[in-house]
Amino acid sequence: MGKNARDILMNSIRDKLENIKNLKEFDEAKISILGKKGFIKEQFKKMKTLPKEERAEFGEVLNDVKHEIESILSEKMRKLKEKESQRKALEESVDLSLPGARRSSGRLHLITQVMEECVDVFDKMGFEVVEGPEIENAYYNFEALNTPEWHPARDLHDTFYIDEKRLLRTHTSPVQIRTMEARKPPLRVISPGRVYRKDYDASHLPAFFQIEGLAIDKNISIADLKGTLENVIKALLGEDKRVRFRPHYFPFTEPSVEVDVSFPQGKSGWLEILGAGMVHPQVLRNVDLDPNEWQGFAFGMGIERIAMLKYNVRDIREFPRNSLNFLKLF
Amino acid sequence: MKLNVQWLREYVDSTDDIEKLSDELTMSGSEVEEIERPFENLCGVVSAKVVEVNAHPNADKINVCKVNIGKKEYTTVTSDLSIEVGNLVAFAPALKASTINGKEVKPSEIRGVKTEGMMLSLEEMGLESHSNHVFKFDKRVEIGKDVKELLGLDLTTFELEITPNRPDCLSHLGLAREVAAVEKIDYKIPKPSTKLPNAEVDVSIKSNGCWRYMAVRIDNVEIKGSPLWLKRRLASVGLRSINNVADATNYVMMELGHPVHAFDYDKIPSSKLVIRDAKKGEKLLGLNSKEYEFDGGEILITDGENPLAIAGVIGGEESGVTNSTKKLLLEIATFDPVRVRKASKTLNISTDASFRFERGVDPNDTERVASRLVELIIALAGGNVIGATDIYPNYIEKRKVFLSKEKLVSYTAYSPDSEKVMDTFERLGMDASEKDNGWLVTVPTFRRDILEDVDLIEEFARIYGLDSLPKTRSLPFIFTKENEWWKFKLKTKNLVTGLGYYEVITYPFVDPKIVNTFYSDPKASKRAPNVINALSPEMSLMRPDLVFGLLNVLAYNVKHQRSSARLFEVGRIFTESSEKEMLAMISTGKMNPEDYTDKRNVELLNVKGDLENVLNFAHVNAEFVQEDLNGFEKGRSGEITLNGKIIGTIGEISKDISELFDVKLPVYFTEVDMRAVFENEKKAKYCPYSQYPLSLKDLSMFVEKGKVKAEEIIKMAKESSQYVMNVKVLDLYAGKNIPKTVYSVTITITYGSMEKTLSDNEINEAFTRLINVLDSKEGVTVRKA
Repeated sequence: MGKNARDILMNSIRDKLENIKNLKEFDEAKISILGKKGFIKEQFKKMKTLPKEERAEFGEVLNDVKHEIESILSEKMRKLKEKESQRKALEESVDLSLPGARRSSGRLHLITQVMEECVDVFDKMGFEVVEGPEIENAYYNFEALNTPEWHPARDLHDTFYIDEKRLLRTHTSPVQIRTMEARKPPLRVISPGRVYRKDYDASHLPAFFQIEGLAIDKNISIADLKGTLENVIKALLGEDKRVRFRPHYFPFTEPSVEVDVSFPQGKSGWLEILGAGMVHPQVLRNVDLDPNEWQGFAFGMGIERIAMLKYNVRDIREFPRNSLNFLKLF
Repeated sequence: MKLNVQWLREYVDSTDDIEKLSDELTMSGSEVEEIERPFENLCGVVSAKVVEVNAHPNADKINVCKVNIGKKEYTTVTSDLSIEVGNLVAFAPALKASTINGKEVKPSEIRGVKTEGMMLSLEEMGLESHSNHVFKFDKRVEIGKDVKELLGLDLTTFELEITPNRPDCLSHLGLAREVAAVEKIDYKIPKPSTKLPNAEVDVSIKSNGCWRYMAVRIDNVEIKGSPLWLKRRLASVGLRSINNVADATNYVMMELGHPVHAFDYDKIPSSKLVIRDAKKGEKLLGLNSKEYEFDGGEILITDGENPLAIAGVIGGEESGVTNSTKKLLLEIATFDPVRVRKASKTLNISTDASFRFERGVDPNDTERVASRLVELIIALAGGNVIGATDIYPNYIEKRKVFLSKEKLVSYTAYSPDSEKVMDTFERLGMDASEKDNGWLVTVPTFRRDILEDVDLIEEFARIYGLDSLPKTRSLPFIFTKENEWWKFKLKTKNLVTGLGYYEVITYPFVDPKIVNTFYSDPKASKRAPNVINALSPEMSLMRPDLVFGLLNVLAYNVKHQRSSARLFEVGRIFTESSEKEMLAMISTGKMNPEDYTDKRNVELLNVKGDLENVLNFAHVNAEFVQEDLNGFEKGRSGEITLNGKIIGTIGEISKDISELFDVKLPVYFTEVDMRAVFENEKKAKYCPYSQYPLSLKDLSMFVEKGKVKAEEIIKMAKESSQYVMNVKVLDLYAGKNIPKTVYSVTITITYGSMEKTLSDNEINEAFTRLINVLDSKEGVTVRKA
């Protein structure tokens, strides 16, 4: 009978317990079941009307029921609280898959970045940065560099002129002359900067960037030139690169070389990357240095070409275009 | 320079490996830029015999032919009525062959007759610039054979970059000498046997620009087309066949490197040649049918009166060889390279001859070149040599150059055997002997570039192999100092990118018209240097300010769907006498275009703040002086001064100007002299600050523009009490509910002391004093809370 009575009692309130959905319903249910006028109290009142012999048994059943209800309610409470805290957490959550609200910050132009990479490499090797004017005297740009007027080598330097004597420097080599005029060797200098050639097509810009260097000392040799430039190229373009030195001609160096770097994508497998050579004795004489006492090497390379090679830029005209689409990439 | 490899092999028995040969040339200084097969496009053409010729049933002047290539017969048509049965021709079967232009031969139908291919002319095979006839083999050939093989067209040529110091490499013989030196083998110099008797050809030199002149007269020549071998040679090196005599002169130039010229002797009425300098205004009609007017100073070949040719550059049309020429006067001469170059530059004409002469041609090979030329012409055009006159006023000696062993070792870090060194020089055509711990080298006159010891070092190095010479790992150490200026520029650039600006690098060439418009001054552009040979008028002025390039780039980006852009540039600006490196920033649209939580547009004061950041970074106290500047909106621009000197500008670009660039939103710009900032840069220094609690007080007020300036208010606040440690603007408001000439500003005053914690009394007393001071200031109305 006990079990049966218990089931009957439980069943009569089970729905009430299970239908609790929020704290308000919980409180209502708790009062209506366990409150002063609640279901349990009602049952205890009822118990008093029972015959004495049944009372004890019913009282036991009733206590059981009460305990069960209490444990159900406390479990219910735990779940409700958990649900509540989940809801709060969701409310306060931020969808981190939304894009970050980015404070705008700019970038350095790729040419500046590559120029700095070059300057850094030479800096580590003990070269110092020197700069000079972009509007240059013809003397510094050509004559002092052993390239007199009517020299066929001037064909390679289509020049912009300001007037009869002044021009836009076609290379940064005049800075070497100015440096040697101003200071005595030993010297290790690089001159990064803008240079100009009257040449404008798919692969040439009328204004572009170069970095040139000069090392003058008592015993600097072709071996030093080779070692230095090979290290520079590997530092800039990768240890895996192979480098070859090919005889060439520049009026201001003798012997002169062009330096190629391995380039498997190209037709010949090589790509010209810089020009260099031992400083021509006439250039030294022009700055009052005795070529029997001093010797050294000079070199020059184009920054655009290195940038294109390193970052796979296909069109040289990207550099002066300055599209934000381009600038944001680097 | 184009080098025909098969032709080269006539003088040197070099390697068969084309790649290896190309590498040898490249690595000895004559860079092979391209390996070409000049007849590559011509393919599938076979020798064929004409077996049937019939008149076309529906057309005059066309014959229908059947040709046999051995296993098969084809039908074809031709307008060349000289084709007869039995002729051996070059036949291009349809869909199997292509002509020199790379065009595949297609089957077609000509007035009802189907053709299965065509018989080619020399023009279609790339051997002649114009053909009138179908090509016929003049000797028996097997039919069905590849025509390229039969005609020797399976050729390889190199396109070489010959450096300006090596005119001796502008010929097949010169390059043979190089290859022989690298491969350490012998080479053959052509030794023509023709003797040139002395005779009275009347030549006189009246210009010191003519170093040697030989004239050879040949009579009774017959001008006609050249034989196939000659056409093939010239075609392979990119030259057009003209006639036998012209072709012979070109052939000799390509073989020996010495340009020569042929006159029609009958067209020189005076029968004499006078070489003299041109007079200003004289004219000559060139072989290219263009008239040249002389500047004076060009060297001319004349008949005593009138110009016949521009020495070393181009011949005249009137005295040129034509089909009716019977007598030739051949010129084998050497001219001053500088004079030839000047003439070529001033007259704006460059020829194969001028290219060589301006680099230097050897006067001492005149005899060999002359006999080779005469030998060829007699073989090709017949005729008999009347005689030659050779005038060589100042014999050019071989140069002697000494190279010490010490110098060679010092330059190369390598000490070769003396034998090896001498062998290298001798292979290059020099004589070398040991002397005084070095070598005395006699340099032939075709090597005008070898002047001193380092030139000989280069010769040794390039033939020995630059790649084989040793290399060191590092340079001997010397102390060099850091370039602070360079570093400062980089630091500043990095700072400005952090402020949200993208670096751009624009051309320094600007449009003078825009410059004049910007400054509202038609003479403004005169203050900057002008490029006299600019690419275009729009790119002719060296920028007097960075604003022009930045406006261009800003406009470009705005046009390409960027409503906001913040850009900066560090670059030089130019005046007639100076260059200055400036930093300029330009801004339009959103302050943080990538930040969707920030809707603010840039305002003038933001740009001022950005510039202040740059100045503060260098601890430089510049002043901003309100001033209406040209190019900017009224009341919205100013100058930046430092120690009384103007170092920059700031402002909102005038609407008229930004509209010119199609930019709709306001554009803000500031520019400052980087060098001035750098030179006034102060190093950061420690400065004590209060260790006691500070008190902050806010104060709002209305400010009437035009009556009082914010900096005065801030100054007054700072000076109002010894306890004021700092004054900052907290808020700025202008707009609704306030007259347009008034703004409301809230400042925060920090009160404190280095010695103690201030009492409420001390603070309140100071604050009240400030309120009273400001309230009594004209133009300021303190807002009482």
